[in-house]
Amino acid sequence: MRAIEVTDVFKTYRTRSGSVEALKGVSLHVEKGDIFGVIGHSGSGKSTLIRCINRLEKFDRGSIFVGGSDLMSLSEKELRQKRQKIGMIFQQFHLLRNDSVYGNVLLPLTYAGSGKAAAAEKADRLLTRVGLREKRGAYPSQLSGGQQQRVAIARALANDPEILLCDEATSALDPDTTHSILALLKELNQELQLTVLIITHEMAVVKDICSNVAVLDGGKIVEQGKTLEMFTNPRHSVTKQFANSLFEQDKIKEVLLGEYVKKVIGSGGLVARLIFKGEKANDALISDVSRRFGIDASIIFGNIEIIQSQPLGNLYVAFSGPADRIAEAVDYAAAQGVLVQRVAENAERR
Amino acid sequence: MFSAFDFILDFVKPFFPNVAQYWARVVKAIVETLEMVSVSFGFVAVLGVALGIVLVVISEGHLYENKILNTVVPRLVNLFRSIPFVILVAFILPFTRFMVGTAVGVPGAIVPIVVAMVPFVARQVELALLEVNRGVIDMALSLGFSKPYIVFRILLKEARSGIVRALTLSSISLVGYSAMAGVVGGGGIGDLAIRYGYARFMSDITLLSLLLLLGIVFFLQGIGNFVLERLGT
Ligand SMILES: Nc1ncnc2c1ncn2[C@@H]1O[C@H](COP(=O)(O)OP(=O)(O)OP(=O)(O)O)[C@@H](O)[C@H]1O
Ligand SMILES: [Mg+2]
Repeated sequence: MRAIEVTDVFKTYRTRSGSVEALKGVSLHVEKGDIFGVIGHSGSGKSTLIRCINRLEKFDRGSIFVGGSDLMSLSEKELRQKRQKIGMIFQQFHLLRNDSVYGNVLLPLTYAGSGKAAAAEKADRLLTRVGLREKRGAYPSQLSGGQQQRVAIARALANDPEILLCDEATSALDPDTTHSILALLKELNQELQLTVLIITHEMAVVKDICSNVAVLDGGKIVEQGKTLEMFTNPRHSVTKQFANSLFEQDKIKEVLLGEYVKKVIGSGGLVARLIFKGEKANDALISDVSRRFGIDASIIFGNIEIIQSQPLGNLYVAFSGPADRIAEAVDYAAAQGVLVQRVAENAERR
Repeated sequence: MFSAFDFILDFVKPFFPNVAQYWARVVKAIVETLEMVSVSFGFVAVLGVALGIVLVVISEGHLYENKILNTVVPRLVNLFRSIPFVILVAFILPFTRFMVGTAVGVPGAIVPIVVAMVPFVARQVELALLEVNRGVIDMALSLGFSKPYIVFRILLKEARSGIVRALTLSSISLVGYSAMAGVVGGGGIGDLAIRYGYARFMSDITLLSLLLLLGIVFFLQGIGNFVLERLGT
């Protein structure tokens, strides 16, 4: 049984000023214990999708099963019980400002009817788990954004949910805080076998913790798969955009217009982008190729990203030397399992 | 009750000759005003907050979204808010009789005051409730809370300082209405000022009435501020 099964979901918002098709046949499956990311630009329908999954939003067509039960067939009461098993955290945290940190975490416990002592003990344990025990008496306005999100996470976990939905949960936070919150989510995922569905517009989030990712664009999933695969070899243009943002691809444009690249190309050379996956992400190959084929290979731009604790190398290499040797070298690199894209070369060579 | 005010009498005698002469009437007026204000406030607070909640929750996309109610109720509220108070008093006279059996005296005044004030308070409370971020409601729904629980435990508590501010403001307007209601048969300080101060040119009574009403207003504002401070806002 999958944790979340979304099949062909359509959702149109109808307002006085017209209607907006927010979801146009979205399907995705999230396995139990997975950390699944949905990435998309603003307005692509991410929030709508995640809100359908705990039915904060009704959808028009399609089906959503969560933990094996059909969301559309639940009665009001069953839906409320189901929601207790689907935690959710938000970009704006949404803590109750007139309740203390402790009060915020206690609320779902008392609502669920846990005994006073048991509820107090559990709230304490949850706050300790997110590292905020000493702040239990503070009020939300006295906390930093990261601390507030930790409280919200503790609150969302109060009813021992099987699934945690995160709607841009780190978008209001700085990169360091984002990283620490994501690390916490990852830990919780492993400790509690918690399934986590994250929606975001930030590559950094997906790259950090999502093992699978779906790209949402214009209310449709345009591509989905394993995170590492998706961003090594993106097919859809939107996926490519996100992948490029990961590799700071915009910077390469300047480099490619530089004098050095012109000189290399002018003398019959070639600039290629080499993408190394996993353990191949080291540049020993470059010197190997250089020696083996007697050509010059210099790295003009590059970075190595860690995706899902696997290195992913992205190198722009300028090869200069006899054209046939360069061609052999490129074939050789490709044969080693490196993805090679020709980026710039002398027009006559084509 | 009357004797409690007697020691004030010795103090005011030299400055307010007429006040001294009609002291019993003055004390009665004070008591009537306090009755009108406190009893109406009780009703206004409960009904106003309730109607305020209704206005919010029936609105589009809210917990108890209801198209029909949402076209009718806000219009009714606006209608009652736009009727001038003196006209309203006359207009609802049969209703007043039906409710309290009389159209004069303190009970006769309380009914129109409540009818006039409830829509006013309801709008203020509505504004206070609307200040609560919509996301807070989504959060509460996502935790599986029931709608009544969300309204009473979350919405009201999150909006409480706004509601206290609304109630303070309306208790002050209520003093003004009680003065007007007095004129149309309710008694109280307003009645005193018109009948003695104005009609019989006893300007010391007018002045005293003014001071008394101001005193009540400051007192109410003070309570409001005190409560807000206790709530930590
Ligand atoms: N309550 C609503 N009423 C009408 N239209 C809506 C509503 N909520 C969202 N939309 C529209 O649906 C589309 C998808 O919105 P959604 O909020 O799901 O996007 P998103 O991917 O979460 O964007 P963002 O990254 O900006 O949060 C948008 O065009 C938006 O204008
Ligand atoms: Mg969104």
